[in-house]
Amino acid sequence: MIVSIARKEFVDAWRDGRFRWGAAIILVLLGVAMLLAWQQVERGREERVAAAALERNNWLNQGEKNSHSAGHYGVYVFKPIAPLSVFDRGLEPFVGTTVFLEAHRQNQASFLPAQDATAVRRFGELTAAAGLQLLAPLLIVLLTFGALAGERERGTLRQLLSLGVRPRDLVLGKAIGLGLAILTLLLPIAVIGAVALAKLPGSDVAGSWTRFAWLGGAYALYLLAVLGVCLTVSTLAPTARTALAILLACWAANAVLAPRLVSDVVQRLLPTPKLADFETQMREDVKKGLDGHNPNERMREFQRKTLEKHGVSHVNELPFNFRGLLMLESERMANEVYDHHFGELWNLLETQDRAVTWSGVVAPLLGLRSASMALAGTDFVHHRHFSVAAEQHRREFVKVLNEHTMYSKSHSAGRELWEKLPAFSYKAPGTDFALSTASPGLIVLCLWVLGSWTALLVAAPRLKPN
Amino acid sequence: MTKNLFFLELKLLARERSAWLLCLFFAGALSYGLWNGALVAERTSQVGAELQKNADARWTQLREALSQRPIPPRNVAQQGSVAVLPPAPLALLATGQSDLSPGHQSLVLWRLNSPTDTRSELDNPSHLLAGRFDLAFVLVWLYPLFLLALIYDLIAGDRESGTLRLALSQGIKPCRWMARRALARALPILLLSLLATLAAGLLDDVGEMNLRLILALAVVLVYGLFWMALAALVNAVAQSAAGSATALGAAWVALVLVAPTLLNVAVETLYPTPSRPELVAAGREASGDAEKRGNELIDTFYRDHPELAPPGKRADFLARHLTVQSEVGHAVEPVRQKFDEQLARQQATVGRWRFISPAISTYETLTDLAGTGYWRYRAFREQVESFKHEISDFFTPKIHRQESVTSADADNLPHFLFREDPDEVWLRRVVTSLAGILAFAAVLGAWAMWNLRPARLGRITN
Amino acid sequence: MLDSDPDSVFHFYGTPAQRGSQWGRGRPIDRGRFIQVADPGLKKRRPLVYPRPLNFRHRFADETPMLETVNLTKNFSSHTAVDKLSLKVEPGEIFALLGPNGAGKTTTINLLLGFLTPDDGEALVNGASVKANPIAARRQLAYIPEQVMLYPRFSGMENLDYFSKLGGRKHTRKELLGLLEGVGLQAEPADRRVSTYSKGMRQKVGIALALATEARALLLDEPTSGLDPAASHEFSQLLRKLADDGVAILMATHDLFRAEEDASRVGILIDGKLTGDYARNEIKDVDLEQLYLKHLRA
Repeated sequence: MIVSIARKEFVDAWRDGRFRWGAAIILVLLGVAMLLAWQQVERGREERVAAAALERNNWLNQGEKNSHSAGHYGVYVFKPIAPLSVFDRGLEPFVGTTVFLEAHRQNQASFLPAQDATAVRRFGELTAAAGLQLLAPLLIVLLTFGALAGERERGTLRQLLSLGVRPRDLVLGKAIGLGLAILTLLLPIAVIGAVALAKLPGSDVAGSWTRFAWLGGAYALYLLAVLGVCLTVSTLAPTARTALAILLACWAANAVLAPRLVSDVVQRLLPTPKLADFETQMREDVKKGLDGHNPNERMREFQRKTLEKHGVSHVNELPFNFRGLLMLESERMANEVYDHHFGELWNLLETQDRAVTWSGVVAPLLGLRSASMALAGTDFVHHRHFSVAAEQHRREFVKVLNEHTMYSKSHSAGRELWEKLPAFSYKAPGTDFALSTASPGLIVLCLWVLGSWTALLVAAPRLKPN
Repeated sequence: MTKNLFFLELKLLARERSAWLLCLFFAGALSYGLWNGALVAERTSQVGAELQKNADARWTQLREALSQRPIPPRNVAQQGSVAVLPPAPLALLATGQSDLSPGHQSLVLWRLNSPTDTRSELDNPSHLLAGRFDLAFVLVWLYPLFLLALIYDLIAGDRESGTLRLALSQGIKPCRWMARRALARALPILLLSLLATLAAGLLDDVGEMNLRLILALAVVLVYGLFWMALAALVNAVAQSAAGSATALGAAWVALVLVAPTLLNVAVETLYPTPSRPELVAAGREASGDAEKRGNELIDTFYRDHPELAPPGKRADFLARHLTVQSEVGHAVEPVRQKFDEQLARQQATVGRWRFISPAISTYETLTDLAGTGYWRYRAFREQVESFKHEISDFFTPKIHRQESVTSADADNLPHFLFREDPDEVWLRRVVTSLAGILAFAAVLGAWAMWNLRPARLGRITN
Repeated sequence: MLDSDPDSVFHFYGTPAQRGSQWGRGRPIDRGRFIQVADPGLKKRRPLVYPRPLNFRHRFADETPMLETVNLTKNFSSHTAVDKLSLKVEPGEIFALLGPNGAGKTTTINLLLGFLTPDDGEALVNGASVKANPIAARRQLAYIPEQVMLYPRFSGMENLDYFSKLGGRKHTRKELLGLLEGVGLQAEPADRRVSTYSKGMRQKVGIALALATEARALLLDEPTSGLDPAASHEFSQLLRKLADDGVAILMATHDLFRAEEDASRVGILIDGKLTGDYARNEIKDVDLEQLYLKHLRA
């Protein structure tokens, strides 16, 4: 029974010209989007690799200079592009691509790609993710708003029920048939995505297949939830027109209104500090530590303790260069300050993101976005992972230089020292990391699927032919 | 007679509970957009005002100090200068680029060429991605939705239910009937939008009725007219109310959601965004080279500019650094130029093709009028670049010659004053956009009328 | 003896002696879609089951009417639609229910279909209460509304196939074509999309569906409204054939001419009350129109 109904609905959907056209348009749009995104990612990766090589070259060929000057000369590192950004660019345009690593200061990533773009970029990007998040639900609405309400208006519902078909069987059969019709649209997209992913060079592409599978799962959950909601509304609405109006309003609220509104409200309730305040506070806290350049009380104290520890009475008698040790200590204290402040700031940003994700119980798109970005590796948590890795590299780089100052006889250094610092190589986190970040979003989606399908099964017996 | 019929349509609309709900929601969205925009504008201008105040205070102090005794140039330069973009003229209308592009820049003489950190505030990137819920968002994205919700069914539902035949058999002209109905039904939403735009202009600090505000009102009106013309066309050909709703929904999606992203894609493919990492790395390479040739460079420099040679013929560290810096600037110039040219080409393409979707034109125009659009920030960036030259021109000779800054120089101290673009420049852009949207609306309206001409009445009623 | 009765199922399938020990001596029970024979000798095993043959008119021990209403009452907020209605339709009978608009004819049909629940009284299908098990009741009925609505993007054949499957019957394409031809719809239009069909053609599909699901009772709502005389005549032929095969037919109609021609019983429903219930022989020499108007004015 259910199988017959499902089969009929599947065939009927594909015979509907509007669905065919809608599906074709979406497929073309998403295919083009992924192709262009793939080109962009390839080019972007090449550019960054070239820039990193150039920078490494600069570093190695900076010639003979004071090791401390080299600390101020610093190193630029560039954030690699996540392979799955082919599918979902996420926060990439809005996080910095370049970090300047220098002594004494921890810098944030600078140069947001969105700043080097036209204002029309604020309308959004055409990515496969955006298409599936915004356009695919519309197609589902179009396909299903008349599923039950339209049958009632047409009179075929009466015909069906008069044959002794159970309302729940009818609704389930429709759900399965229409769901399969949507699935046949998704499959080509998944295939194109898989091909694009396979053709991306790079070692970190290997870990991406599991993520890709999970991404597919997340989107399937979302579309399943949308299907459930649409069918429930179609079952309960008195006319097809009412069903369409309600569903379009829900879609607009979910896709257009919710992201901005929730984001704004969360920002209001959990505000980020002003940049000036943040930097001033950090500077003052660092000053309270040891500053290698300007002597002060604390420095004298530290000097006394060190002399005591090594049992000598003058700085020159120490087995190493005291200035180097001083700078190491000052860096250590500064790092503590930076860890504290940046830690707080980043924790706040993550809390804001989590608040937005959990608001997904009201608008499922928020849950999906969060899960999608997390799985693609383009969300804030992944950016933090990179920032932390860059900072680790900076600390190592400064340590190498300061140790040289401590233990070498001469102040100036050459290529052998520059080569001691390895080139920055960033290893993107694995699937477990992504899943732990994506889990709130995935849970929200599961709740939506459960809720909407339960509502559907509860509403089904109430199906009336009048 | 027509007036009575118009009011009759309004009365019919007033009987619909859903119409009241829609207007209520829309008013709520507009109010929230205004309020939110006001908060953002306040925060931005506060930051800018504080910086400007501090800069002004420092400048006054400096002039006072100079009147007492001369000061070495290095000490004066150490204070640094700040370039602040004044608050936008109609900031409540749109937040535009203000959350992304910094409205201020701190400059120090010896770091003029290093890639400056262009962060404006500590915003959550997800928040930047989502965009702000400001008045421009409501006017560009939501205003058409609410408008279409009221006017999607002008005659399609009547055709479906059969009352169209009855109405037309009374001997009325279908175009006139539909136009009257469209205007009556659209009126509440149109009025609310215009009111909100007026409030955006009058509620800020300046609060006067100027040309920008009048043009903003015109844009909102014309954008509304466009969607009304589209609804008229769809109703003239649609078979049922549901069909009309679907077609208009699809049109909204195509024009407001898809078309801008397609334009982005096209622009990106034709003129790919230049690589910032490449620019940074090129700058570093040039600076590394120049540093190594430091001494050589300064010798050449003094040979070429003997008037700037220091008295003791011994250049100090700062003079050397400035020479290197200027050399780096020259070396990086071609790369930076290519970078800027590519961005300019992108924006020019967007400017040419913005007419494919009134949503794009309206958004660009609203941000332009508000003063938070691409062009004003670009003007700011360009003026900052010339300010950098101004700073360099003031201090470099003094540092090379090891001269002090005296009270005579007080009037020439570098001080940033933003020059707004002359009115004709932005006026031309805005008027072109308006004309474009009107033309598009006129075409749709004419097509709708053609479909409702008497010869086609037979088709319409069946 | 059951086996000599030409209407007996044994007559159709063969006597126990003819079929051998497989048949057994059990009593056949009509389960609607199939006939179940419980063999006392086969107590431990499942009862034997036989598909109901087409065009088989059953007559077993208890002659329950196929359709029955007992003091059926339905009130709406503004008026009483059906008021203590009691009628019976036996297998093979064509009962024409006449009445003006708003008399309660459609409500009666809805009550028999279980789409409405009665406030008082009962609607029974084959002796079983509709309220208790509407699904089982519907499985024995076929319903042809005034406008037979089918799925426009499917052909008549596909619609018939789908609906008959849902009604619990699987037929091969050949069988379905045969059914359609039997009701007057040729092979060519049968494969065309229903959106191209006329009202008469759609109605034919409706009747074919009633045949395909082997319904024991047929509920018709204004079947001849909008049909031209030729189509109306065709319809009437089909109706009589169905009645001959033992289907109980309840026809709510305005069409006095048809009622006069085809009905074996005529009921007149005024304001929800059955004011007249006549067999054919009672109204043979009476002008039905005058009778109807008399009831109306009363």
